[in-house]
Amino acid sequence: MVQMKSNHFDSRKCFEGFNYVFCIFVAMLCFIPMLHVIATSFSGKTAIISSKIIIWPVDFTLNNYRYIMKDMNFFTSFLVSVERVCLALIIDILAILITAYPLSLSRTKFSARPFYMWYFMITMLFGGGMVPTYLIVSQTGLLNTIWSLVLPNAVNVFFVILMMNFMKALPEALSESAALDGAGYFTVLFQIILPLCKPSIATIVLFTAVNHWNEWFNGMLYINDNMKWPLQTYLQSVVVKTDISQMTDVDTLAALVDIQGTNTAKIVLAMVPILCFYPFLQKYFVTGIVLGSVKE
Amino acid sequence: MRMNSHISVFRRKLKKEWPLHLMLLLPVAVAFIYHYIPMIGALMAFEDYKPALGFFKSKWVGFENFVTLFTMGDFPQVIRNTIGIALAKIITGILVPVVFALLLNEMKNLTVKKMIQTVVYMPHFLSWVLVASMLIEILAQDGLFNRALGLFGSQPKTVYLADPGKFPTVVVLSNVWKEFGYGTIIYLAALAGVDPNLYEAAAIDGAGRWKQTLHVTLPGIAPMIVLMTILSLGNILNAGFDEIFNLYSPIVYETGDIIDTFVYRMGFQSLQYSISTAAGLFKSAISCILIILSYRIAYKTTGYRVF
Repeated sequence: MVQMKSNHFDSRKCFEGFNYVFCIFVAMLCFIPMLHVIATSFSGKTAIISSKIIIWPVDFTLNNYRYIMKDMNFFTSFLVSVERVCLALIIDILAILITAYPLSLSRTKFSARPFYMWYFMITMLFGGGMVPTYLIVSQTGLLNTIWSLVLPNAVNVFFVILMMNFMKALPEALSESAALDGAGYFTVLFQIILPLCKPSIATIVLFTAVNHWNEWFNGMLYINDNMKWPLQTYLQSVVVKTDISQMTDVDTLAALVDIQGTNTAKIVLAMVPILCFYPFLQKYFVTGIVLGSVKE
Repeated sequence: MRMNSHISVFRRKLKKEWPLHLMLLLPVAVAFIYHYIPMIGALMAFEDYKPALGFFKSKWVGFENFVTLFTMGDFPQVIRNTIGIALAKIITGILVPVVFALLLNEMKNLTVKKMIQTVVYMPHFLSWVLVASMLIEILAQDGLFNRALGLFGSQPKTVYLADPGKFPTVVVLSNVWKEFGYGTIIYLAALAGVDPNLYEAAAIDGAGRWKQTLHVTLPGIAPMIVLMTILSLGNILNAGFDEIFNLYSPIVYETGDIIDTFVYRMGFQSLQYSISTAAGLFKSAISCILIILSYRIAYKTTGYRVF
């Protein structure tokens, strides 16, 4: 009996030890590609050619970053992305609030609620497709402007539902007593409901910012002028779709290696804002995702 | 008489509720212009659309574009690629997070657990543009991955992104790398909701940790696994445009081309607007049916409601 118990104990310890090693190994697998890119961005040309770099810079140098300092395209697109995120935050949050509030009211208070609910749900279920959407963006004159990246998707129905569920859970007595005092719907929303929604607004702000920072396809589709491209679209064009065929043979290898160094530096610089936001993201996204997917 | 009372009820409601309609005016307008008008515009899939003539004057051709699409040769293969990659992503997207959440749940050291979580969630927040550029770098001939394999004596150095046989695997595994950490959040939340009393009761009945996992933990999170499986049904034609567009090249079209990338190339490179829209409409229609179906099943089996 005693023998058995100690055996059991050992296998448990064994599992726990293995579990720690395995999970830490998996975590390292997630981290190493990023470390490798960071290390490459700080490495010298020859080290990159002979592919010696693993997760630590070889022949440490800042040359790749110095080179980017002279690259106007990079900075212009960086600023476009910042502008885009700010614009999207203001418009999206406002749109989400004024859409979610009427929908959060019960049917007795807002008899047209089911109609509007379906009206917005359908946009989530069915889309017109790439070409028709492109044509309407072009018809409304948004092509080649930053508005083409913000306006068409200003009403994010997923976040509207998240916000709506949050508002539904607020005590009704608050808005009712305000209404008795003669406050209209707009006053109730912006003076009573809004301050109570801070946690869900924080979640949506972070997600909207990250989504818009990371979005690259609309920039490629709607904007021809590469000085107006957001950062990710710019990176997509220089890092992912580097056209080797357009280089002359003599320069190819040397140019490619230079490009590899500066490209990794560009990737790192594009990651920095996400890394800065990450601690806040982590604090809020658990609530966000659980609110959004597990509604009881 | 009855009609009149209906109208008066309507008037009374409108008088009270008009600010709510006003509030919704702008969002409704934006959704109408950028979502509903394109839905109507998708009817150009049944036209021989010519930009010079516009939507209203282009010739109506019925199902001709769809016939061309399915007899063109490439498209059936594109559908097969899409479903294959999407299914593999759905399966790994449930299996890996569930297993990892179970393993994390067994950890007693909360600091280590928290650190691991912090690291594995991270890739989700990087764009596919960044992840693809990292992958291109790492999976190159002399990239980190081939060098690591070399340590274990693997000689031939494959360029993974240029090998049609390996491309779908690379796509699916890259997706696991980027998204599995994020997927574990849901299951960790579900695990936290399992009643601790059940574990005590099981322990008193003589169940070890493994038995407890089998008979308490798994049944505890089973509803969530079922729900996530049902809801992922709607993604069966979603193989991930962002990922594949940034990783593929003409060399791997035969195994890597999916509906979304096909729609893009048809529309914006070959300028075959009607064919492109037809392919897109085909996908939207099936996805829409699948999503509605999955929500119905989810409601019937688990009581899940979106709103």
